[in-house]
Parts: sequence; C-alpha cells; structure tokens
Amino acid sequence: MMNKITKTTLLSLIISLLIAFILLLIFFYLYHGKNLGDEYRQVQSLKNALLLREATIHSLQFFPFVYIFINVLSFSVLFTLRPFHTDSFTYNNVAQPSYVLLIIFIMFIVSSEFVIIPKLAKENAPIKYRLRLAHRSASYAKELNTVREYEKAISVLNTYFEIDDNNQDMLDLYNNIMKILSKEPLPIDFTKKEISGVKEKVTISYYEKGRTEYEKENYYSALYYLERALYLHKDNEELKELYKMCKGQVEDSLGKITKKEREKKRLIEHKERALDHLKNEEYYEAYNIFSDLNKMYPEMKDLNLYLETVVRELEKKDFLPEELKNAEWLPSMNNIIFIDKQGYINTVERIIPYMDNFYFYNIRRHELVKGNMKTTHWKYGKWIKNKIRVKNDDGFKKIPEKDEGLHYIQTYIDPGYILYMNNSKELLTLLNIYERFSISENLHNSGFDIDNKYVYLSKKLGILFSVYVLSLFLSALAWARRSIYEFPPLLKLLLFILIVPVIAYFLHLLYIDMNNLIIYSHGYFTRVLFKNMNVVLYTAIVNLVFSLIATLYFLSQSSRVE
Amino acid sequence: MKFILKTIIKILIFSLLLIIPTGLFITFFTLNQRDIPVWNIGIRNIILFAKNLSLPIIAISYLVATLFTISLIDKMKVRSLFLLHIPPLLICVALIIGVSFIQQSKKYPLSIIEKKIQLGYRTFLREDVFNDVKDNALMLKRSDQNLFTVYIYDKIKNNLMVLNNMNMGKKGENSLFIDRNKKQMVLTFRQKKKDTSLKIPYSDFKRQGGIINNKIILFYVEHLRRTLLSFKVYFETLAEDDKSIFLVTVFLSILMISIPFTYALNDGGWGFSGIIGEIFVLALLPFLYGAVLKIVQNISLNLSFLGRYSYLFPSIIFCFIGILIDIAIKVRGIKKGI
Repeated sequence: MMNKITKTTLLSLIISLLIAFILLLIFFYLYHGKNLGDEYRQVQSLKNALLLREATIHSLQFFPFVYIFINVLSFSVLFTLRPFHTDSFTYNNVAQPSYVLLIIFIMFIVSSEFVIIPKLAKENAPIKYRLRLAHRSASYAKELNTVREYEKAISVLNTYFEIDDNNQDMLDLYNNIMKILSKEPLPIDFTKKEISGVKEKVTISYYEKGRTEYEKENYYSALYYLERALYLHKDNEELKELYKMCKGQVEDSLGKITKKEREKKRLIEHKERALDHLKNEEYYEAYNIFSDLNKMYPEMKDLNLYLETVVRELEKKDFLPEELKNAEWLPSMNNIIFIDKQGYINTVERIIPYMDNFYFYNIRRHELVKGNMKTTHWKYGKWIKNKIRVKNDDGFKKIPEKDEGLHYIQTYIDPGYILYMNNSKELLTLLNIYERFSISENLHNSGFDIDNKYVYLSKKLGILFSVYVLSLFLSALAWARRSIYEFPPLLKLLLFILIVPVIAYFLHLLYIDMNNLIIYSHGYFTRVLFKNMNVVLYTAIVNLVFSLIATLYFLSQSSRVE
Repeated sequence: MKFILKTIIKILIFSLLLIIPTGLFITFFTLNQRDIPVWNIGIRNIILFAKNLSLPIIAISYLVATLFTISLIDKMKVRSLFLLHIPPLLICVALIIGVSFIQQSKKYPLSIIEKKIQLGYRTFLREDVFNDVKDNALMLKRSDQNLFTVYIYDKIKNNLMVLNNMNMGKKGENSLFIDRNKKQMVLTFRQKKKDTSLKIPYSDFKRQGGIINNKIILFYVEHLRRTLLSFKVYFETLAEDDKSIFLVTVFLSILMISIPFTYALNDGGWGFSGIIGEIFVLALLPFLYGAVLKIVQNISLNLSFLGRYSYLFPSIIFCFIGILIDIAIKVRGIKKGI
C-alpha cells in the first residue's frame, strides 16, 4: 500500500505536470492563433482544429523540458513544504514515486515522438489544405462573380460548400448568382456522393433505366441500357423482348437521321466494331470509334453513353487534360524537384492534391546521365496506379509499349510525400517511426536529404536520455541544495520560476546537441575499435553511462540536511 | 590557508570539468556565427578551431567555475570576505603569467591567432541529395573519379541548371571551390560561350545544431555581439602595449564584481537559488560592462588623473561596484544572503 507522502508526491507531480501542460497548450494556441496566415482563417471550425493540433504538437515537443523543470521545482521547493513535514518522511518517499513517474513519462515521450506527433501532423496536413482551398474558393468565386462568369462561380462555390456550408457571405453570393442566372436557388445537396454498387445492382439498374428510357421514348438511351443489361444477362427473355422492340424503334429513327443506306450500314458496322473493342477491354480503340461517331451523330444518345462508359474505363489508367485544366484554380504546392526510378530529375511547377487525386503541371524531365543536356517537357501529369501519367494536350492515346517509360514517371515515393520535397522540416514531422524505417531509403533515392534510420533512432534516443539524465541529475542537485525555509523567499522563488524553465530548456537542447556529438564521434570510434558497431548501440551505451551516473547520484541523496 | 587551498582545488576541478563542454559550445557557436556547418568539418578541424579559441575558452570556463564554486560555497565556513577573493585572483594571476609567458616565448601577441581550418565542398554539401541552399536546391552527382555534375534548382523560378564535368576544390574553369576570404563557395563554368561564375555565400547553406541556432540564444548573442563590437572598437583604439593590460584588467574587474555579486546571491537556506543567481550574473555581466563602456564613451569625463591609463576607467568602475557590494555584504553580515 502506498503511504500518504507517496500519494501526495504522486498527486503533486501529476497536478503540476497537468497545469504546466495546459498552460503550455494555451500559450501555443494563442501564439499560433496570432501568427496564423490569412489563408488559414477562412473556416472557423477548421481553423480551431488546426490551432489545437499545432498547439498540441508544440506542447508535446516542449513537454520534456517542462517535465525537467517540474522535477527541479518539486525537489527544490515543493517537497520541502508543509504537507511533507512529517516524522515518517524519508527521501525514498518522494524519490521512488518520482522515479516511477519518470519511467512512465519516458514511455509517453516514446509514443509521442514516434507516433502521436507524426499522427497529429498528418491530420493537420489535409486541414491546412482544406483551409487553403476554402480561402482560394471564396476569393476565386468573388473574382468570377465580378467578371460575370456565373456558372463557373457556382461550381467554385459548390467546392467551397463541400468544406464549409455555414458561411453566410458565401451563401448570399450563391443566392445572388442564382438569381442572376434566373433560376430559383436550389437547395444544396451536401450528401451527394459518387454512385457505386455491386454488379447485380448495376444490372437491375441497367434494365430498369432501359425500360424507363423506352417508356419515355428515349430510344437511343434505352438501347444503350438494354445492350449493357443484355451483355450481362444474355438469357433473360423479358429483356430480349424489350431490346428487340427498342432496336426496331431505333432503326426507324435512324432512317430520319440518315437516309443513305451506305452510311447507315457503316454506322452500324462501326458501332459493332466499337462494341467488340469494349467487350475485349480495348478501350483506346473503342474510344476512337465512339468519339468519332458521337461527333457525327450527337442525337444518338446511346453513342454518348457508350463514350462515357469507355471514358470511365480509360480514366482508370489515363486522363484527359480538361480534367487538369478545370482544376488549375485550386491551391497547389509549387516548384518541386525529385528523382525517379527511371533515372530522371523531375521538376514540377505545380502539384495539386484534390479529392484523392494528384495533378501535376509543367513537368520537366532531365536524364541523370553525364553530358546529357536533353530535357523533355510535359504539360500535365496525373497520379494513376502508382505512377505519374504525363502528357501534353492529347486526348486518350494508346502508348506503344516501347515508349511507356517516356509517358509514365515511376517514383520512389507516393505523391503525398513528393508534395513536401520542398519543405523538409514539415515532411520530417509527418513521418512516424514505421515510415522512417520503410521509406527513408526511397526518400533518399528521390534526392531528399534525410538521415538514415539508425541515425534517426539515435537522435530520438538523445531526447529520451536527456529527460532521464537531466531529470535525475537536476532533481538530485536540487534536493541536495533544497530550500530549508518554511516557505522560500518570494523574490528568489519568482527568480527561480522565471529562470529555471529557461535553463531546463537550454540544458535539454544542450544534451540533444551533445548526443549529436556522440553520433558524430561514432565514425571515429569505429575506425579504431568495434568496426561494425551500430550507431544506435554506440549512442545507447554512451548515454547509459551518463544515465548510470545520474541514477547513482539521485539514489545517493538522503533526507539529511547538509 | 586551508580554506584558500580547498577553494583553489574546487575551482580548478570545476574548470577542468567545464573546459570541454565550454570549449565545444564556444567552438560550435563561433563556427555557426561564421556560417560554417558544424557537423561536417571533421574532428581535426574542430580541435584546431578550439585551439585557436583556447584563450576565451579557458577564461570563460574559469569564470564559470569560479562563480559556480562561490555560489555553492558553505557560508558558515567563510570567515572573511577578503579571503574569498584570494583563491580566484591567485589562479587568475597565475593563469595570466602563464599565458603571457607562453605567448612571449612563441613570439606572438596575446590576440587570438587563427590557424586555417580546412574547408571543402563536403563541409557544405552532401552528395546525391538536394541540399537546401537558400532559395535553391543543389545536388552533386559524381560522374567520374574527380568530376561531378552539379544540378542547381531555383525553387522560386522553377529552373534547373546543369553543370557538367565540374572539378572540386581546384580554382579554374569548370570548378567548384571555397573562397575563404570572401566566405563563399564559387562555381565557375562556361555559359553561352562566356566564362561565368556563381557565388554562394556561406550564410546561404543550411545551419546545423540545436542550441546554437535557438532563437532566444541568437537574440541574446546578437545583443552580446553589439556589446563585444563596442568593446572591440574601444580595444582597437589602444596602443599595442596597452591592449594586454586592458584585457587583463577587464578580466580582473569582472572577477571583482562577479565574486561578491554571486556570493551575495548564495543562499545558505536554499542552495539551488544560488546557482540560479550565478547564471543570472553571467547572463547580465556582458551587458553591464557594455553599459559602463557606453557611458565612458558618451560622457566626456576628465580622466587626466589616470594619465595614459584612462582606458582602465571602465575596469575601475567595475572594481568600485564590486567593492561597494563587498562593503554591503560586510555591513549586512557575511553569513547572510540578500
């Protein structure tokens, strides 16, 4: 059972730590709130979420030195105050719970440094982008309204409403534009989602849609849906019957579109050929035919629907430049450089991450071969199936197998990381321990200046040992030179509270720098002794020596007043 | 006598313990102030640089050790305040005589002599990665044993420059070398049939080290630098012979003021607050000295009574303040704190 003093010790340490953490959190919240850029202020709720996370990240990064300070304060003053003035008091009563708490705290730092901080930083990245997007949407919608591009403004406002549907200014702008467009303001459907479903459902829907279109006398659309349904359910008699009726109606109608029998025959032949390509999943070939036919016969809705189907399939491995042109107004990460697996240095003018897509603009590729000054340029690129598909103003065009290397960039890392190639500090905060181990090499291959995983681990060890060594050493020193006043002189206490956190902070930084020096000396040490000794092991051993000295000093203290 | 001997031993032990961390801190800090990345220059260069700075390193570690000893001293064992001044001053005088002797025997003045440290492209750049160089990213790719391709990417203009067959360290056409005098890296190459050169100052390269780049430290150091600059200006107006006397008296006067100040802050009832007091004194001293120096420079005082030794006036003021604190402690009782 814990005695009363041990309980009081634990309680006072935990309460002090909580108070210090909350104060730190409030400080950083206010500090970041004051220094936050305008582009991050558009949406209040997101801004608060961003500030809270930023404040938590910084509080966690600063918490080690706060912990050291609380220890010094406790051993120098708190444990000398009235609640600890009992006959049964011994140094062990405060030393043991403090030590246990220190170990627990170090475990907390491990999780904080390796997991919590990167996790919070990762959560912050999309929030930051959404705030930038909201800010850009709001300003762009206003610009479009001024130049009377109302329809585009509505589309931009819809993007804005996906992030924030409560902004009265934007709602007013939306309603005004709708009035100008002489339309009733439609209620905005925020729940609109992409339709996706299992194959059977699609089939039912094809048949039902086909029947509905047939009943509405939209025979071309009906033909498309019924053909699709029939492709999946060949033996359905009811379907066959409806298809037959629909085809008859289409053939009648075809006579109105073109009276020339040869042209009619060619149209049917082409469509059949395109359908064969579609069946054989030769989408580029199908696209070429359907797009030509669609241009020639825009009235034939079935051709348009087939074209849409083909485009949907092609978009799984290719893209149309229009998609990127439409996204050009979105906020982007600019001027990024990276090396790819094919041995090229790539520079990208803009990268836009939007709705799980990554769009690349103005890509230049320079081969990493001595003396090769040739550069290739691509206007657009899109991240598709773990590669960047690059192209100029082309539509869907099949690439010959031998040229694939030119039209695809195979990167070492995902575009989510490429985005930050320009901002090493932010990228390093985003990486958790798993990522540091799994992608460090790929980041290095991409040209990112990053420490190898062992140096990274050694550096983190420095933080842990700093807390352990400094807490124990300074606590013991503070105890040895503790206050013997009933209550310490106020002026000195004030000076103590003002100066000790700063000292704790600098000592913590000094220890981390010293740890870097230990890592630096590893190269020299292994030249002389233990040639294959791992840097983590070396750093740990040196730090353990310091820890041992600090522990012995801490344990050597007693309740005796010197 | 026992007290003096014990205190001398304590100061010497603390000085020895502090000399390595102080030396490293001052060395790294000075390197950083000169925009030289600290983790890439090699241990030989660090030792050489520390050797060049040996005088300030010894002085500062000795000063810190002295103040640390006094801030932790048991006031009950101090019988006379006068005796307390003896051990630090004794060591200080011994040190001054020793340093002067070494300096004279080697025939170079007391000023800090800088032996050249070796700097190469590896001091500033890592191969095969994009090194941050202000608004550019610079990559070195080895193409031959001694030849490199240099890629310089302008992050503002999105422009990549490729320089082939660059020689490292050799001055001449198609080369990358370090211009130590102008503190810059120079790349020379031919572009559009013209000899062109690109100069990158040391300050454009990424700084290394945590504490030496800390904002609070940098803020403090900036103010310290201004004080040192006014000190240097004052120092350089002196005749060569007077410079040594000036330096010695400044150091002695600093001891004279900081010993009683630290002793006064030493609290027998709360020893740890004494250590805090010492740090407080150390942080304030340069500014206090700067203020005195400014007063001397700005107010025209008739210092004719000092003759040619008028430059000793700031040190005399410091000593005077120190003596005043001594008297105050004596009046209040030497066992008490403030």
